[in-house]
Amino acid sequence: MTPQDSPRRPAAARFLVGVLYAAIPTALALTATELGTKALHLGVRQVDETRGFDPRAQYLLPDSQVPGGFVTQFYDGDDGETHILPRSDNPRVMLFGGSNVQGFPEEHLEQLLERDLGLDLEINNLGREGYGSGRVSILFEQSMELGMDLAVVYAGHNEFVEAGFRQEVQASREGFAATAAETLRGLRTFRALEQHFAPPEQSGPPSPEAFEADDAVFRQFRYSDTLAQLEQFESNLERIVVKAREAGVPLVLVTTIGNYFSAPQSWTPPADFDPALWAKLEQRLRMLYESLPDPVGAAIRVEPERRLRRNDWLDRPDPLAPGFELPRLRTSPAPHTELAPYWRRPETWTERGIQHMRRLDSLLHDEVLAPERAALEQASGELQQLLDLVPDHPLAHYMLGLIQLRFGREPQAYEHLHQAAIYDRAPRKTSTLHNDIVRRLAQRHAAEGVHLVDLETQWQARYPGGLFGFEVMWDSCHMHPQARRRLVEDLAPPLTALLRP
Amino acid sequence: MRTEQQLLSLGSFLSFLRERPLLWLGVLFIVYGTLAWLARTVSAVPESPFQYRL
Repeated sequence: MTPQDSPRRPAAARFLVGVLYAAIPTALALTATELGTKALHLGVRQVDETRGFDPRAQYLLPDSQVPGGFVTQFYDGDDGETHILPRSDNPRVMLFGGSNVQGFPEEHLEQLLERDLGLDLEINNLGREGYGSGRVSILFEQSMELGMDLAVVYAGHNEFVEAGFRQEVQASREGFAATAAETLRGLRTFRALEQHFAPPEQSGPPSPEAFEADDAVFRQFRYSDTLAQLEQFESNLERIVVKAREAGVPLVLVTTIGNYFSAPQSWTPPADFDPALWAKLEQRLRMLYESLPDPVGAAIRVEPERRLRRNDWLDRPDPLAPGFELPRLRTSPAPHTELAPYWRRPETWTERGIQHMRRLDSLLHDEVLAPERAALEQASGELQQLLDLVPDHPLAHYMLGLIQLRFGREPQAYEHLHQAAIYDRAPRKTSTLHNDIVRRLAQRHAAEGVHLVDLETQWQARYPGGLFGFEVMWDSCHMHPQARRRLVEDLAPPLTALLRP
Repeated sequence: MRTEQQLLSLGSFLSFLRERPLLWLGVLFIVYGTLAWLARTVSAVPESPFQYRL
């Protein structure tokens, strides 16, 4: 029997035609709304959920005001965007990185370079808060069309901010709705609806830190994941190196500096570690942390709400009491005593910030009395036992580091505070691990026009025991303005040497 | 073959629209409703504070 002879054929055909007829009005309506949204310029822009990790995201657009110029697309608007002038005969230097670079006083650097070189030059600061090597590498690649004589990259503090964004993006893309939406974004109608339902835009310059991934996303992050993220950092930098080489642009890779006194962000058990034992150790660590005598106990700030942030240095509501004495912390010894005033003006510090600096000051300078000494020695022994079981526990290293610092044992303090930074599962500051990657890359590509400026080593050499922190930073990695000024002064001589005709 | 030609004529389509309004309106409602629901769902995802033109 052929299909045409089938007795079911007419009924099936009628059904199919019924489906077709039922669909035609919807198809016509969709066509009409597609044409209507086009006529009304709705649903024009496609929302990029990837926070700029998509290489197709355009970071630079032609400047409509200045023919031949470009404008950055960092904030989805003109507020705070950087305008890059058309290329002139003056040497052009481009700075790339995250918020620290964004805060670099580039005009100061420009003056220093112009003075030393005796010529006019142009510095463009393409630093943007929250950017780690992932987005910097995309921006760097796109910036090649601007033309430049020297590129400077200071990046690494935001690797795990970007990792957190990626995790959020990944989570938002799971499930049927996200997959279907991805396909439907081909329709203007859908994009217009999406824009209609989107939350209202923020007023004023947006703050990516407000969107920083909660530490919860790192609760399952194992140390192997941390190391994988660092491999990603290396591969992003490698991309930058390749792009610079292809464009014939000399590249300066700079090691970054972090706050050795800020606590680690995240710790998780080693692979295959007994969960019951881990829970027990965590409980013991918590008890130790809470029972440590002041000033060490009070100086440890692990909880997000207790950590110092930018506003702790800016938002003082009332005047300072007369006779306010600036905390000493770790003043740099001669010949670098000029590093001492690397503070923001204390009139703007909040009580929270001042109290924390006072505790650190006590930790560093007050005499250790017998009861405190006994309590710290006991805690130290327990922490060492814990480290015998979990040698890569960042918080245990951190606590031990501060105890050693309290005892004035700088080499041991250095060792533990460095281990704390190295073993942090999701650090918000760089460590020697990051900087060794930078050094390695610069060395590997030295013959291809890649240069190293080792600021970490330079700054370590200025402080007792190689340790510094809140003297120059307001949180884990952001420098006070005066410290940034000093930092660009450190950058100036090697940049001058590279730019000298 | 003749039956199918009759079925696909404009006249039969118009009579379908007249006779089965609930059916085609239902399809229209379901398609647009799904689009709106999806758009609302995905736009509720925490979004980047800045968007990029692609």
